[in-house]
Amino acid sequence: MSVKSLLVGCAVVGVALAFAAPSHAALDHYKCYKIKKDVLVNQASALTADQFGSETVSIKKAFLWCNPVSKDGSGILNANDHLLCYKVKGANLATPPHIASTNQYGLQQLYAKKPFLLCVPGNKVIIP
Amino acid sequence: MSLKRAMICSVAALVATAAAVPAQAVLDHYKCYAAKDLKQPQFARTTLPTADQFVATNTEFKSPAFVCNPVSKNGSPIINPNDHLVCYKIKDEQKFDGPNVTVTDQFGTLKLDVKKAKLLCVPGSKTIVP
Repeated sequence: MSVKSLLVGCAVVGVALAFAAPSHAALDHYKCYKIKKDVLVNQASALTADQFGSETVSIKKAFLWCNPVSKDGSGILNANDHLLCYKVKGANLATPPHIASTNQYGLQQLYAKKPFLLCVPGNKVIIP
Repeated sequence: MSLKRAMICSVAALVATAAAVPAQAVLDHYKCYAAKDLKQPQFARTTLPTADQFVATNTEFKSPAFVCNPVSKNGSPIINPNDHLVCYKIKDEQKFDGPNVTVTDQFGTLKLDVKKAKLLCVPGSKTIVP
């Protein structure tokens, strides 16, 4: 087997693997709890860019802690993936996007209004 | 492609992926926007069992409240651009006062006092309607 043919073969397999599993199939559900914290955030702002545009948001305070959750027996895919959500202040969207989202509850049609949270992956240790 | 070559490639790809991407590295940052439900259709409140590291209880899903996009923060790349979340306001059947947790993220280490559950975020596809 030549190196070239092996590389071509691997590229084919790699592309096939990439398309085989839609990415949100690997995303957990998250249950988010209100939190109180004992220290302030040092970073006052962050530059964000998503499908609605780019802007610098002010980071206000840690607001929610999110655990991966099993819903109706669905199971948890990545038990170590948590999110810490900070309240942020940014500009209202000039033209609120009309969003159609489909999940296991069916179709949700929503208008996105203003940024409210920035959720950041984090590690967690429970204090005894 | 021969079966042998495909097997070698598959194993190599899986090993490379597992080595390169620790669990937390595949989780994006999310920017969540307050959302107005157009009620087309009307969301039907529902109660389902939920279980996480803090509590197992029945949870009432009340209404959609936020839509979350994967986001680049300070130039960090978006890992899974198709992963979106819709977050619902919830109410747990079981009252719960959570533990104190220590959290480390890119802002540093925080000690948090966990209170009651407020949202449950569900992955889903998203389309912007013209």
